[in-house]
Amino acid sequence: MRPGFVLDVDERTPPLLVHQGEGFRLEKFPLGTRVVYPPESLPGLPDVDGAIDHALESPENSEPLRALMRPGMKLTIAFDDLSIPLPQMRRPDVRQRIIEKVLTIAADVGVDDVKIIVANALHRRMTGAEIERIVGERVFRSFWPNDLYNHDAEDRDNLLHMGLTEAGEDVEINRRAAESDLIVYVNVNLVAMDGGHKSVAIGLASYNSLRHHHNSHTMVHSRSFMDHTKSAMHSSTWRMGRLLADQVKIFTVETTLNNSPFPEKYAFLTKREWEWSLKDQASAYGMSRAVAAMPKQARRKLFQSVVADYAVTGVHAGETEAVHVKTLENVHRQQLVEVQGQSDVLVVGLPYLSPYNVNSVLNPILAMCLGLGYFFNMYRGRPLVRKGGAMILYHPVTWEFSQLHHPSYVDFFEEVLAESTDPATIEATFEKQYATDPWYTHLYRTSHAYHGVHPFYMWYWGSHGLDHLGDVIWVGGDRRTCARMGFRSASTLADALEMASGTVGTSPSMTYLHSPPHAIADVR
Amino acid sequence: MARLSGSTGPGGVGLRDVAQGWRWGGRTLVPGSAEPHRVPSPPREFTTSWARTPAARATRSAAQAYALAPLMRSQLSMSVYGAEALTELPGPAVFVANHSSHLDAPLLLCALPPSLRERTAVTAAADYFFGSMWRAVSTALVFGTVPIERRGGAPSTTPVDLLADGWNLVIFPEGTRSADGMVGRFRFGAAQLALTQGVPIIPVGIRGSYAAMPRGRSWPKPGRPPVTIRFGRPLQPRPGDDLRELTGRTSDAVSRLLDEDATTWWDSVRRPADTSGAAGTPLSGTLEGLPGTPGTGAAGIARWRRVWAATEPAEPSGPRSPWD
Repeated sequence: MRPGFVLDVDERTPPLLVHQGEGFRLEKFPLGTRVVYPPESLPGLPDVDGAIDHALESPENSEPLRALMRPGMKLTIAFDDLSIPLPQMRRPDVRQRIIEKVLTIAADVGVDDVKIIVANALHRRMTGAEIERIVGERVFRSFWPNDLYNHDAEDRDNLLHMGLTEAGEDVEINRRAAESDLIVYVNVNLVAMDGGHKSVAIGLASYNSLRHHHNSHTMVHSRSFMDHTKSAMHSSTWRMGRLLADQVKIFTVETTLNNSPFPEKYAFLTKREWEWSLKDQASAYGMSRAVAAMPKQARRKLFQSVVADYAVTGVHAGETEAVHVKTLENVHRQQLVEVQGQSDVLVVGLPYLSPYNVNSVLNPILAMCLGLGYFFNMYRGRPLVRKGGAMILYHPVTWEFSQLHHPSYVDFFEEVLAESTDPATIEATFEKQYATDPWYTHLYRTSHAYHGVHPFYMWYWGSHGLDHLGDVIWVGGDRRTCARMGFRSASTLADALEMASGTVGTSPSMTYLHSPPHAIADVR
Repeated sequence: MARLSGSTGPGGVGLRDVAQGWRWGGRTLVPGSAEPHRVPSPPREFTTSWARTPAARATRSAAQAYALAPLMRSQLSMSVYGAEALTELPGPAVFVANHSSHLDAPLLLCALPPSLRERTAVTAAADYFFGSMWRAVSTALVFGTVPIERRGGAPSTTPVDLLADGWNLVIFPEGTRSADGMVGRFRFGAAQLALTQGVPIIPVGIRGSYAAMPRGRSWPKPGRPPVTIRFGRPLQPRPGDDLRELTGRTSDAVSRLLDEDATTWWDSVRRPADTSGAAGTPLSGTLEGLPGTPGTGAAGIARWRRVWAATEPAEPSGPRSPWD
């Protein structure tokens, strides 16, 4: 396994792969561009089931799971929803393996009262098929639908206010979980942002609780989301998590994955371009042409059906904070790349998928969140781009929404962004109205829609990026859509650099974050 | 600072994009900054025995006599000295020359008497000349090249087998073309072959090829620049010779030939050889008197001066034109 590194584009550098929504391109970057390559994929654990057993029997800073169980107790198992990992992993999902082990112990001990809850917070309810894919047929058949269900953040009767943190933040989570004798949380820690106290304190929370950290002020002071010690959002979540841990016994199981987001047949998407074989070259050309010739629906189906070759690199269980330290070590081992200094321009290619459009469309707001919220924040220390610099993103940003999954996004885009793109302004003016809109609430609770306030959170997610950057330009982006979001679009990289020259000059330093696979830049 | 070198095309992956990254023949072009992260490729020796079959030898003889030699003489003013003594060689030998240009191998081959040339193979860097199929096949056919590993790894048995089979070998012991025209440090491979196989080393000084076609050029400079190929007397391995000693003698002999070409044989034998002399003009010429010369190496001399000396036009060797 080779570590990540920073490539300096020279005359020998071939055109480099850039993701661009449901497609990709090869881009000839200017000489001198720095390219951040993630470390190669770590080998997976040879015996995942053995590692799970070991983690449950010898947990971090906690008694073994079996010792925490007794007959007659209330056991709640919560797990991360389909927003991670991306793309979905091969079956069996590691969450299935862990939940089956936990249930086996519970059955041995004689625990009857078991509920399994999808920790989807304000995300859309998962369908039965989607849940079954994560937990496996055996668990699904035993528990669905009465004892295996989605968390409902709007079910007032089934939420419990646990108190206020020292900063005055409401801590309100799922009543069943709060009143349990033991919560076992099963997580997939795809990037450093996930996991820790974020799992229970966000995954099972209500809007009343989430609003304390999912707001423009907190988000702009989260630098970055990938470093929980420097993230205001995580600090708030940690306060809430500690309050919860004082009142409820939480047994956290965290897992980490390697850097194989694509299956073997798409190997060229993860290989370094100068090492592409003839087969890789032919695959890249063939797939690109085929994708371009496909009808839109077929293309979307093709991309959404991609199943990653992720392998499990670590399983740790026990007390939340002790576990998360181990988890982050694994994540950093897989994703951290040392980068010297910032640059004037950051270039990223946005893929077809974000945590919020699994089996759906990446609408413009999600594209903005993916670019300025996630990719921009893939750093530790300092952003890859200097304050006032420019960010160039590749994505078509088509004016397209899923009415099923993102109904409030449509109105947010048409109504709110037409008024203002400033996160603080739209928060003050519009958030309450969307968060309490009965129709959006109804769709969230009964259909498969994201909560009414969710597009606001997506926009806040980019607050730090919006505050930090002097210019945001989308290569290949729909002009009308970009303009609505307050951005500009360019046809080519050359045009984008020309447009950015007013901000960063005519010979800027550039960094291209070659991701996915995931890379966290440790900017010195 | 980044500099945009070209326009970008439309979205997707076009044929032109693919072609820019395509490794024709499988040779991998690795960006400089990615070199430390390269995966070592498994050893794979390109078989060249087919290039020594009668048919291939006949093709090569014809190509060298009727295409390569006329081409060389049309582009360069070639002078060859000392080749007449080579016909008296009793058996195979190792030709060791300084190396500063891709012209060196064809020049040396063209300078050899035909009887020797047709049983002479040129050792060539496996990673460069045998990295792609088309390059490997064409050089093996036209120059009779055989691969040698210059970056470590398992040594090939081909050179030993060739000498045992009565073939002569051409070796450039610096391992790569000189970047500034100076003669670099000789590696031990040639001396080892001579010692283990008991064959003589023929030192060869090639002067002017750097000036005619240095690194970065793919065709000689116009104006038929002069080049000289000067063969020395065979160096027989002596009893008790070790690798280092024989390599030192070889290196001295090559430097002396270059010196001889720039001055006279008498001057060169009276002067202690300098192993770091310039291939174009020896240290004892242009760079004499500078710090570190002669005999103490040219490391302290500015690079531009070494290049300057190496590319200094040679004196015309033919009779003076009555019109000058």
